Amino acid sequence: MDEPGHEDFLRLLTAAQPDLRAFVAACVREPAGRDDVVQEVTLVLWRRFADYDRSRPFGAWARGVACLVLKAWWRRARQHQALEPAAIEALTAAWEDPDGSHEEELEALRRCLDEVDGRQRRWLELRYAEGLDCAAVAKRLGGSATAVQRALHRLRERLGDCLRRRLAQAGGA
Amino acid sequence: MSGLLDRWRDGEAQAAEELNSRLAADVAFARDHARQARLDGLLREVLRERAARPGRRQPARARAAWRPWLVAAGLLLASTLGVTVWRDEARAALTPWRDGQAMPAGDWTAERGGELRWRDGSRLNLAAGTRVRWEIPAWPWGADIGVELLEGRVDAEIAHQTAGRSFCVQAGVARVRVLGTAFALAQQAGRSRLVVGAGRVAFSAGGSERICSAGSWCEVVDGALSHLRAGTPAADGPPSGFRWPNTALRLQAGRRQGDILLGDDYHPTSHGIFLVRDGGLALLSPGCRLRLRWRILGAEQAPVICWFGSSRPSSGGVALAPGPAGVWQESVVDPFAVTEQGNEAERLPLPLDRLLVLVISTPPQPGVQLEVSALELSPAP
Repeated sequence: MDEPGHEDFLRLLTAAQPDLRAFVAACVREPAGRDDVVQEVTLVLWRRFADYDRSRPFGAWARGVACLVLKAWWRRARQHQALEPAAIEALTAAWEDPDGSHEEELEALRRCLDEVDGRQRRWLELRYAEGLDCAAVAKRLGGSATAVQRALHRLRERLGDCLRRRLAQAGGA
Repeated sequence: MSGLLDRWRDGEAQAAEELNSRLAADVAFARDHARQARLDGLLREVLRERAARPGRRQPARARAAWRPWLVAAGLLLASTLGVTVWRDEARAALTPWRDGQAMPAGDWTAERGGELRWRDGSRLNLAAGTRVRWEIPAWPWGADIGVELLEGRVDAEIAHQTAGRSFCVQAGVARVRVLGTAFALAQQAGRSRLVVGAGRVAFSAGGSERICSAGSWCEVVDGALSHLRAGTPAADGPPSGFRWPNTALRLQAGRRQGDILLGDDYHPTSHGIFLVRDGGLALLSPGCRLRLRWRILGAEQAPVICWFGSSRPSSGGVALAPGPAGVWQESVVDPFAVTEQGNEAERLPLPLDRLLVLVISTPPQPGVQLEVSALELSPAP
């Protein structure tokens, strides 16, 4: 019953999957398209698992495979949904592995979100939990779509700083 | 780059053009964009989780800022409408109902089992012989809804709570504050055990608190809180008859259905792979069963293994009983009976909560094929 291939693959894939999904989401705009790509990437990872060099991080290898799949997907006439191949390659090179485990990141982010005040929190909820576009968020809460876009950008920067700080503290503790 | 990620997400053509050119040309920009996009994914996960979670509370600072306003508004309203009507309304929200009748405060034993409902749609299913108690405070505003479980077992489905109020169940020294949607709590002979079916629940006793997520369970024995991982313990397991509000997951071989992709693929060590799309949508809870129909062609008694990978980084598998070549076999697998691989010393149950990857496989041999014609993950009956 013990097949190291299965065991290692599932363990590594399940640990890397959330970050892989975020990477694909950064390259593909439509949620349905993202699911297709993630599924295709997973199948390729499975097929090519024998080629994986265990001395390297699995996440980086998975993103390299995803980069190839994304470029092929873009060439199959889905240009309007995804970044162009050169941009995908740049993003692959720039993407860094998470500072902590996925659960640690989520817990740190939950704490960071508790520090966000009510109105800003509402922007985030409408954008991420309800999936509204920025124009719809602006219409609901007042202001312009551009103002919402800028505010969301600033909020992400602030939350990103908070997240790194908390993960560093947790790592040093 | 201010707002470029959001403009692109919202489908602005000019933003796509700008993003493509800047990512390709500017390494620092690409690094910054990657960080924002990673955070984008985390935010989506956390905020959707919060939105789906009943009983979510505003942060303490936000509540504090509203409290004076609420008090002032409350006093004004009371003077206008009459404090009696208002108080009755607040008390009604805390009062359980049974068979359409409001239940008076005090003790109640569900001799043959029964259901208590609240006006917000929350409900507790009580096992036969379960004893509960509740009180309606003289000052009902802002009080938590809930009961004290004196003995027996309750299954709970809790509606979304308004900010500043929780649904709580006290069992001996243990207190359950609902952060999620479904749980079961048993109280017997000084032992309180909580099993979480969906979402998250805060379980506290003796000054310590643990958050139990779906598929995990906690218990208090003689006042000490221990957190145990997912699964049914070998002995003295949770009482039978737990019910969970799960959606059945169905797969049909050879084609897509719902959230599932069924891949048919070859791997150097085995073949046959089945993947759950968008990992995390399939909630596993104690009592669920995986049923599958399969057959081996081209060999007698070839081993077939059913592997589970959960949303936590762990996996494990069980061997299906081998059958004669060409004959369809029906197998039923309890995911919570699967033990974690790579942990030979303890053989811990898998910390299953959300099914991410499912693999049905057989080692490759020339001319051997594995076919799966039906696959179904069903909730507990």
